[in-house]
Amino acid sequence: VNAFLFYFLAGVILIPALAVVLSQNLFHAGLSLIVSFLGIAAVYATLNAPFVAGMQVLVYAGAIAVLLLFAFMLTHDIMKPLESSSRLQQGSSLAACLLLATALVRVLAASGWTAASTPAPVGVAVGDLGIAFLTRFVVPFELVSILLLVTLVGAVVIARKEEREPPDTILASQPALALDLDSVSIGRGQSSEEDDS
Amino acid sequence: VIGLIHYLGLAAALFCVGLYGVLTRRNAVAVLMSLELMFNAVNINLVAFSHFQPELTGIVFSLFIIAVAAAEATVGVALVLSVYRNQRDIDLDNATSLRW
Repeated sequence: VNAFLFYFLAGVILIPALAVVLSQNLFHAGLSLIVSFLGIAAVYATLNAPFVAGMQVLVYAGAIAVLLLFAFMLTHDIMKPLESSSRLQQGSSLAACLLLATALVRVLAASGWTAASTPAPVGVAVGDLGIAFLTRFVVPFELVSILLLVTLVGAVVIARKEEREPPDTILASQPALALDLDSVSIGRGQSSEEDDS
Repeated sequence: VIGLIHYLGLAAALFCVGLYGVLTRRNAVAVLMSLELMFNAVNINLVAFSHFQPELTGIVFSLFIIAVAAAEATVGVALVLSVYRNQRDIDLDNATSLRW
């Protein structure tokens, strides 16, 4: 692989990734996430894995990123900036990440993997991949299909609206039921006169 | 020349960026986004190993990870919506009703 292409792709992946992590506007973060996923798909293409690259575009950039953007838009005003965490939390997280990065760099330097860089002449054919899925890896393959089914049902069950109304909507629809807290003296509870009214 | 070690370095950097996001974000959806970055870093590793030491397993495993990540994102979004319905925001610092 051409060195220029590699570093270009690394930039296309890492700069949007930083935007995902640091941006105060989560909508921009989600769009940066899509760019980063597409860069990763291009890296798979340079690694002679076109099928994985295609799946990356379809599943990650197409489905997961859009799903997360929808979840964000359903739960948050998209123009409102996010609350950032405390300085202490940011500092300690940065320290933890730098520690992990140092450890990983040391492991990479100590491993003999710099020498082992003779790439395969040809990529994996999609046909071989399919045969492997249905022979060597047939049990995990079937387990994944069960997992997807369970996820489908589970997500619907978790996200479904509950049958009974939450208390605040009952109060909103019937204001007579709402207790005026200012009229209740502390420690006395609700008096019988107010109960009649 | 670009070898295996460069891809592993790229994946390590992406993993650390994702970890920083998971640790610092307070919005649940933002945490899920950072989590997806970490998944992708692992996938780059697997595909790179599969390319440089010819073997099918890395690619197969990365496809399994993509499938499981899709499942994880779906359940995660369902949980986020459920939490939102109960407490009207998805700030993880406020989601403490299970805390002892």
